[in-house]
Amino acid sequence: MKKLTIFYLAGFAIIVLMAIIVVFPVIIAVLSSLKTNEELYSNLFGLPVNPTLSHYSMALVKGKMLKYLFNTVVVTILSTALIVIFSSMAAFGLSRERFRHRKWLYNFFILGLTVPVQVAMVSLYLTLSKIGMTNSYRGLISTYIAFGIAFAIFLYSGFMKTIPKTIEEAAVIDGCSMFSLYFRIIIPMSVSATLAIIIFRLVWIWNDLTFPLLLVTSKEYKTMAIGLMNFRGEFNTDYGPILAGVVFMSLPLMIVYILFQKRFVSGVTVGAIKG
Amino acid sequence: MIYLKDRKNIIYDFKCFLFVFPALLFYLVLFVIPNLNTFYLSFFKWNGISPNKQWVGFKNYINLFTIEPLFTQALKNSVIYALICVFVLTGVSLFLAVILQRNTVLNNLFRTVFFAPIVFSAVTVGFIWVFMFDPGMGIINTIFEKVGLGFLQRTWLGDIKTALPAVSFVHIYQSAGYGMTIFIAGLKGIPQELYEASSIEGSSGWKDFLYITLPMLTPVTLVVTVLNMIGGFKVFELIYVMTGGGPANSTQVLAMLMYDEAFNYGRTGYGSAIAVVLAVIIVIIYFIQTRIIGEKDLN
Repeated sequence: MKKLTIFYLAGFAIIVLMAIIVVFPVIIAVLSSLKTNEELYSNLFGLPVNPTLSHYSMALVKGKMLKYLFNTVVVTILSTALIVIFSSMAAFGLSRERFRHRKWLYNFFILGLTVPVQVAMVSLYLTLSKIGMTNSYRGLISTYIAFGIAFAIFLYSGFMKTIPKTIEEAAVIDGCSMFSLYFRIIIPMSVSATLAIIIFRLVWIWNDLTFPLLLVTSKEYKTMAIGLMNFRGEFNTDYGPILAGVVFMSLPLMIVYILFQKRFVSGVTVGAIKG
Repeated sequence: MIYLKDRKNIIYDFKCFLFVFPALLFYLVLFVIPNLNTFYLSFFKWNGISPNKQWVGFKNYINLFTIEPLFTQALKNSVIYALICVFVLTGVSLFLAVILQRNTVLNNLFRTVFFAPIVFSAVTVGFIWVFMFDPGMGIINTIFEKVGLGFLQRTWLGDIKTALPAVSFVHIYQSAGYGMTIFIAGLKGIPQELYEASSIEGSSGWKDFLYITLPMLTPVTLVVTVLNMIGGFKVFELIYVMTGGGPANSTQVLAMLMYDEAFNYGRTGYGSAIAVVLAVIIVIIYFIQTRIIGEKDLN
């Protein structure tokens, strides 16, 4: 296997080609977003001759991407934080061996992992519009908590099982209450699970189109995904602002990805193999 | 004494339950109940607004499978799409993993590249490729012309023959790195002695892959395949962004049709029935998977 066989070399050549296919469209999109309208059509592949940020100002101001960025940040951060808090609490409660209802409650949450998001869409819209929670942050945030919590509980439970019982026993003997056991011992020991969950939910909520599509029609509460989606109606086939919006929306997560790459990859592996 | 112990247990249970309660509340009200409600709505003829719902029993389901050609088309497209995900996507991921499995600087760089599209939204990755496929701007068509493959030029997303493969290509573009990562973790778990033993016996490369790597990797392959199949059946956002189900319903898939029926055609009952069909398909896939893997730990 260590030998550089012909198969391996040929394989590597294909890998290089595939990497180009992955990177090329992204570079083209970034370059095109900096080109003037005329250049966008005449100079397809080259560097922009007269780089301009006019598409960005178009997308951010007229297209309201700045406002949508704010909404996205609010919804993403609050949802992720609440998911982490509620799911770590639940996983802690469910990991107490003396708790008699833990088995079925746990299975009840895990059942949620198998049902595709689309099933609830119709009823979710009907329910939330009936109680006036469409077009609001709380509607979106509550929805993300409801749909994101089963997976987080699943990850936390798997992780908390690996914390040695002796540590807890020692704490309880020292007179530690259940809440301080959770808050001072279990939570600080579950940092890597917390980070994996944060990364997972951050990417999901930042990028999610489904729920804003269902629950938000007012520009006041649109996130970037749905706002950008509507660019097609607003700017027609004017690719300049659309691509500027694409770059603007993707850049923050790209930076996070490059900074925390190891965490991303290990988080995904844990999630997939156990899920 | 027994009484006291019981009381202590009840108090303990209650304390534990308090920890679970916030999660349970959100989960019940906005996840479990809406899911059950969709199931309930699938037995009605209803436009989603009018106050009177008409109970029709299983008629929505019967109609779907008998007199709704659009549903048959969507089901067929979903199956094709899922099969592409199962075979092509899994194959691409496995290929990437096998070539890039060793930890070298270059390999790590490539892995970073292949994994990166996962952080894109369906909207951003969809728009980038709508731009690439655009027949007017013609990035892809121009490339084909320049390398002498002009006969391959198409109106990619506007042609009923190429639209579905084009969208599934973008799906693969976005998720190949995911499977790759899982496969690499699986490859690391194969004992090196197996390869050493086989190289003593004069075997190498291709044969090692067929007789050692693939069989040892079976459980991981199964996981990735199932994930890809479910991902294929569930696809919604990418279709919504890139084609909206068109042209001429050639990319109409179950989730997209469900959305159209419920929110655009005002046929909430039908939409709900399609959602239930989709859920049943996915639950069956999970069921088969757990049957095959059993309770074995994949690590």
